[in-house]
Amino acid sequence: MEKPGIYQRLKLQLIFFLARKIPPCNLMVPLMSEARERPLTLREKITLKLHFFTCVACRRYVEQIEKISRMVKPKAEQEVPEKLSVEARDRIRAAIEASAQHKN
Amino acid sequence: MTSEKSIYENASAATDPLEWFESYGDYLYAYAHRRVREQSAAEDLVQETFLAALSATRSFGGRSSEKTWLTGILKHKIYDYFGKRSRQPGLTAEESDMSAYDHLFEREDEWDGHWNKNFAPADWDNASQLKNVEADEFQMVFSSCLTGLPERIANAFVMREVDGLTSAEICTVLMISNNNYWTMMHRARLHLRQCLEINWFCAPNISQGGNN
Repeated sequence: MEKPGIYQRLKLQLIFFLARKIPPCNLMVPLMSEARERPLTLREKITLKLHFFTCVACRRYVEQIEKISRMVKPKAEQEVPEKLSVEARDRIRAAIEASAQHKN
Repeated sequence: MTSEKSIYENASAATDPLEWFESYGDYLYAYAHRRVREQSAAEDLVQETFLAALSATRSFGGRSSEKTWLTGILKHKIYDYFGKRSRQPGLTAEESDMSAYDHLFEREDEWDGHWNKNFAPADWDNASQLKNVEADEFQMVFSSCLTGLPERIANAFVMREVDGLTSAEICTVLMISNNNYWTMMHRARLHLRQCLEINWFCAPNISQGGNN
């Protein structure tokens, strides 16, 4: 049952102080996406860094959009879970045959 | 049937489009369906791909595998399709309307504008340890989350994150500015993160894949 140390308490004070000074999450979240699309300006970078220091939810947000980005990338040689329907198969075969005859 | 086959064997060795279709039809269909998320559109794109391949048989010089070559043709067909579906330059009113997401950052206390506790990103680590990632199941959830977005925004996300196109390429296909593109990507990420948290990462019956 230790009380939080002096550094812990100072850090908390600093976080609250900063959180009131810098823009809130709803203005920072678009920037977190833009950071994946373009180089941010120095000012934007600093504001973001400060915001992350104060906000665990936004730190998670960035990690999670990165994770999603990795997970939606196609894996090489994935098994094919979906197949053409019988009707589509017949239709496309017929189109290929027709086109092949036309060509020759 | 056999006579057509022999025509092809004469035209150029070992390049029978019907044989290609047997070998790669399903693969190309799955590839297209994952990206356009619509059965009949995916089927049409596969058909167009084989017809285009047929008329360009001689351009296939065996530089790459047939599968790679056909996938390359399909890719272009998909982006053409996205372009045709994108009739309007700039964002539509529906696309730029972010009001559906306002509640994520609404709070009663002095911290209005910060994440509402009920919607703030949750810790995914505990939840995702349970699962042995079932790629197909994830794909299904991801696809259904994409359909919750306006179509062009979902298409932009597919081009960016699934296929890795550059922002310049995507802006050209969709006829939008960089600013439009950033707005789209922000909305897509905000939406998909929320949707995947609820339906995948922190979904209640997460071990339905069958491993205990």
